[in-house]
Amino acid sequence: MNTSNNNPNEMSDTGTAEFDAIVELLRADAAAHAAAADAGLEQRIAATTLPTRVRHQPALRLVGAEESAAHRQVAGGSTRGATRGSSWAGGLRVAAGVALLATVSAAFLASRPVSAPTTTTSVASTASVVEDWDLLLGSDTTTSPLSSGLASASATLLKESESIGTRWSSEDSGSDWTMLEDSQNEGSL
Amino acid sequence: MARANSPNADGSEEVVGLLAQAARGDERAWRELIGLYARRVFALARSRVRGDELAEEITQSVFATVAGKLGKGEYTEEGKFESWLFRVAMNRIRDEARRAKRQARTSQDDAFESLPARHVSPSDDEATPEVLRLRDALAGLSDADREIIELRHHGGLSFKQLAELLDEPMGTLLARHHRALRKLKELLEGSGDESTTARDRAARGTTERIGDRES
Repeated sequence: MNTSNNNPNEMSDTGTAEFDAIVELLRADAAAHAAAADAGLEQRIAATTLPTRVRHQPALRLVGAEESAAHRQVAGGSTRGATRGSSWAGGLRVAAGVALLATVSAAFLASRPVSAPTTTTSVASTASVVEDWDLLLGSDTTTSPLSSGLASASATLLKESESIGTRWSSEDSGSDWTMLEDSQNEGSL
Repeated sequence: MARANSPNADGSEEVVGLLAQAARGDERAWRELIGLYARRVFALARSRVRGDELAEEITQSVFATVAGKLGKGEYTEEGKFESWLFRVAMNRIRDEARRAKRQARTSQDDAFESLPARHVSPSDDEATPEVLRLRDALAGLSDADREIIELRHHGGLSFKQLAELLDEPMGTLLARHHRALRKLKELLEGSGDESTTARDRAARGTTERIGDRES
């Protein structure tokens, strides 16, 4: 099999016969590599990469490097997001959830004429989140099992998101950013 | 597979039509495209990475990327499909090469890096001794030289496509390719004159050490 380009309009590889023998060897090498794949190569690739499947089934299950590629597609070309997609996205979801809870609490409290007890509505600390839960649930004490349970879950989520954020932040410090650049270049032709 | 290596299919009406159909989800068109290009991508990958499985993984990854872009309408036909396809392929291969280097460093296995190049090449398939010697010589080239040789001869790209892919003027490309071939020739001649591949040298060193002890 000849994998080199034999278009007669294409200039020769060297312009001289000096490298003819090497070019022939390179062709033989390319042919040996191409022939090394079994007959099912094309079928296997077609089975996992049909464009409609990718378009309609973003969760298409691939393995190894293909999985990474699929993540890249989903992440819109971000290699960083792609290779670490699931954990990173999970961390973001947790953080977003906690932030949303805190925001809703604050908005609720701001619109509610609270007479007593007077409670700080800051969303900056875990402690205030705990207190806000009492107000949201209409309880005057912090001993309600439901409110304390929710408060505990909220605090756990907050810690978890901070932990994930810290971990990714430290791990990303050694990232190979040229990979990101390469991936971005893919779409430029 | 019959047309898998047909030269300059890039930009032909047939390929353009297949791309359009595949983008609309036509399975037959997509299979034809894979038939046209999969083995060239595979040959390029296999020339660089170790093992058939990894080469196939990379090939699948490349076509997964292409499928994704086509399916989402992110590919614009400008007659440069092959250049784009092989750019995606080279990026995957580079990623894999970097990963392999990182793994080699973190494994702290000194023996790994001192292994002769042939030991990290694909299995010997049906290659002749001359081809095996060529693979040794290819491993001695710089990444840039090897890349241009492999894109040209294993990927089967034209110089015009290479210029598009590497974003370099044609003259520069031709000069680079010529220099890379010259280096390859020197490496081949050097190994031929001395009858030493990396493996030969290792074997000869062992023999000499044994000879020293015996004398």
